[in-house]
Amino acid sequence: MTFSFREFELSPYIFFVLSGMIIGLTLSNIIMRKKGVAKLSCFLASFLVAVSIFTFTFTGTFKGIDDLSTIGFDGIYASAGLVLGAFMSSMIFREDKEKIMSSFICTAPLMYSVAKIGCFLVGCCRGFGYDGPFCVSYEALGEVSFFPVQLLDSVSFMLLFLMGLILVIRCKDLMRVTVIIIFAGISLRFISDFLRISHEGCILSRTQIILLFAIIVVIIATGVIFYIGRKDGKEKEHE
Amino acid sequence: MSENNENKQWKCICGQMNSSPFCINCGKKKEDGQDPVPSVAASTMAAAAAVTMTAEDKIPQPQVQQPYQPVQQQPYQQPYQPMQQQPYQPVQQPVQPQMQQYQPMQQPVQQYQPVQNPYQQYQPQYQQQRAAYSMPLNEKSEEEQSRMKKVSNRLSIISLILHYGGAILITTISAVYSGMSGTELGDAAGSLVSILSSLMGATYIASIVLMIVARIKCKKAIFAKVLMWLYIAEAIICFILLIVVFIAFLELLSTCSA
Repeated sequence: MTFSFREFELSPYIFFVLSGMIIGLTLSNIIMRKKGVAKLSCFLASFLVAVSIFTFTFTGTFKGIDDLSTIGFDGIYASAGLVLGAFMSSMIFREDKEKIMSSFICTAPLMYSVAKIGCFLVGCCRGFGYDGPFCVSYEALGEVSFFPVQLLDSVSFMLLFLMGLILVIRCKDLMRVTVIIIFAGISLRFISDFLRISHEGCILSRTQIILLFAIIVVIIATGVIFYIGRKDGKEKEHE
Repeated sequence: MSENNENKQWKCICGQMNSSPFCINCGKKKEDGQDPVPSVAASTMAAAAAVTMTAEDKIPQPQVQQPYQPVQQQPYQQPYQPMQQQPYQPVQQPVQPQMQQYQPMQQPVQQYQPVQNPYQQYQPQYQQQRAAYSMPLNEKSEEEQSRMKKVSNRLSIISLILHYGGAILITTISAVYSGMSGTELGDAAGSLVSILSSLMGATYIASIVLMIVARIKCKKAIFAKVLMWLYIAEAIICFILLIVVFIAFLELLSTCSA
């Protein structure tokens, strides 16, 4: 089985990226409401996360662009924006910090998965040269076929989303679930980067270095959240 | 019921048949001249009344307290059904616990006693305290609200400055830079623009955060509410513009490459 795509008259890339974001934010709102977060808090937290995603994506996309033809939204920057937005929201709405954080982090793999379908159809972020089963070729790029790493990303992140959703619904320790989802997502992305054409000729790609940096940031952020949670708990006990 | 017991019955002036020296209804003491009333119903009532007496009464009439068997036939026994789960125990129990079981019957007697509500004496004091504390509390909450509103307005102003200040500053510096191109100062301004453009995203997010904090601090603050809707409207316009510009850009790229 092989995939081959003609050049689209109107690129479906933006449609998939934006629809992924809208679906993800809507779903995280539903999860938050089901968890008992106030309507206004849900709305404002979603707004902050959306703004954060856009700001980070634009900053990442237009900074250091050499070739305009390769312009596109960077998933890593978008993820960083989402995590930062969710973190800020959880710090603002401290009463529901675990619920807000887990809701946004749980739907992040879904957003990424849907956005990757757009990449798969257009041919960006493609894999290394490969002509085995499930190889993909694009009319615009000639007769060369590639490894369908975007499809692999899409499927694996969709599975991660489903796993995360089950955990968020069933588990009570939401902070632990959030940390598990973040680390699983970073690990998946780190491994899949080895299969990309951009990784050829280097030990660690730019994306992988950013991901390693992200792990450190996540560890620090988790520590901060746990510390604040403990402090709040002690204050409540005193009261 | 024994004869002995029946002979001890006497009728109080309130009409209550009693066997004890005090009336179980009005609490009056039995007068010397009152005759005993020998009847079966009266004897039953007397038995019940006898049971209601506590050990504290200390009445020297042991024969009144002895026959407890008919008392169990009375309807008062019904609420104590759970106690009969052990059928032989009530019979084996000593007199004292059985008397304690009937203690609630003493309550009607107490109702007729002219005892004042013990809390009544504290009511004026309580009302005075309430009057003393309630007013300052209301004033305090109003003060707190107005203080929060001021804080919220301040945060909203800072948010507005951050939101549009960054863009205005960068536009101004860019305009100055375009006039200075080619000079040494122009290169310095160029690097400043590049740093500021990176900070622009941070100021934009910070403005949104401040707006949310202002909105939460005081939900009635109109300025924060207006600011929120302004930012939302702006975000929607930006979102639509982004889609249009991105599609136009891709179209332009495909035309150029063709």
